[in-house]
Amino acid sequence: MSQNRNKLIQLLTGNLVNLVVHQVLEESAQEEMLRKHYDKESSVSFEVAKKYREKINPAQREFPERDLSKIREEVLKRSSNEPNLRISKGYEGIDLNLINPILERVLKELVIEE
Amino acid sequence: MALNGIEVIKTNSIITKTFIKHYIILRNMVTLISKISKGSRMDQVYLPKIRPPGFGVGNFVEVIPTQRKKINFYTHNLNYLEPIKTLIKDEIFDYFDHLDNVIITGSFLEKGFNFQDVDVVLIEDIKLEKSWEKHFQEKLGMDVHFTCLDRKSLVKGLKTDPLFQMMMSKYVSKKRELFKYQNEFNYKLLDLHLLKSKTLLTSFDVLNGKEKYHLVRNLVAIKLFLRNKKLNKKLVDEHIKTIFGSRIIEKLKENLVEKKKFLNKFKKIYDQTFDQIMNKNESK
Repeated sequence: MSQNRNKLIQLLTGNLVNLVVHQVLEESAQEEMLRKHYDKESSVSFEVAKKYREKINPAQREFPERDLSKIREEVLKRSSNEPNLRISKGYEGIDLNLINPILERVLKELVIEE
Repeated sequence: MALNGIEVIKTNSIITKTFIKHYIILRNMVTLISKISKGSRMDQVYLPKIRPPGFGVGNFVEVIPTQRKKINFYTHNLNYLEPIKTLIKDEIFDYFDHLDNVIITGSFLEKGFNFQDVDVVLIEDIKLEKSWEKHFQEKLGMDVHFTCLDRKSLVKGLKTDPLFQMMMSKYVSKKRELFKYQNEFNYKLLDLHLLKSKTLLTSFDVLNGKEKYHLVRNLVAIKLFLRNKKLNKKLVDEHIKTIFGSRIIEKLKENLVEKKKFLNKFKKIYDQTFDQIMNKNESK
């Protein structure tokens, strides 16, 4: 049961990373077509994350602090890596300051954080 | 109470008359043949004002299909479609009869019934309506996903999007289409698609076989697209086998891949492809 919970948390985290990365990149994109693609990707990740969240207890209230900090730490680390890699390769207009507020908003929306 | 001989004859005579009235006279009446026409909320069958007896207002009638409307279609790289899928295809084409063209594509066209949904591209500059998916979910009991595109956007998608190009390599459509294009590299779009495959590196243990296969296919499709190849599923699958071994697709789908060895190779190709995309950006 606990192994299953860990697996679900890992899947949830992966989708949160994907969501945050795509929203950050969306903000940097000028082309409308690209913005739509980023938006679609982050919406899909949100929906998948929501499904995993519903399967993890406690489902109706926020996560215990140790789970929350583990998720936050991993999402922040992984979702900074990707934009940083792209900045080093010449991407322009990526605002890394967006990562934290996007993550905090999503954590609240999914009742992971109070 | 037991019936005597005369009563039995009388009763039999009534039964015979009733039987003739209900089953023979009504069965011999003229049949009306009419066409189902489309309505806004409900479809309908119109009956002429002057019509044979039995078709009065308030009477119940039985409507039986006599002949299905013949729907012409065109296939691209598709040799066979199961009869039941043909019925589904006809339903979709019939519903969007008023549109310029309708293209059915994706896993629905692969042999067998291992598909999860039906992908439909509507060629017309219209807005996607949620009611369409609901309609087909209720009528066919399956998920049908729609994309609305005008011809220009469709060709643009084929030029720039490897996954869309691969998807559109096999289709059945209402009308014949001819797409002429050369691959165009939009590095941000390719980067966006490639990023999906990174999930395999970070979440290998929690993904199922089918997900792993899709992520590998995604990476290899992008790699081939960068080599200016016109993509189709067969070409991509062949290339996956060349890179990872001849039985890799079965192994991936069955989730029986040896993690370390596989991921080493996968990471190498992922990094090479990522660098190639970024180099295209720099050389721009």
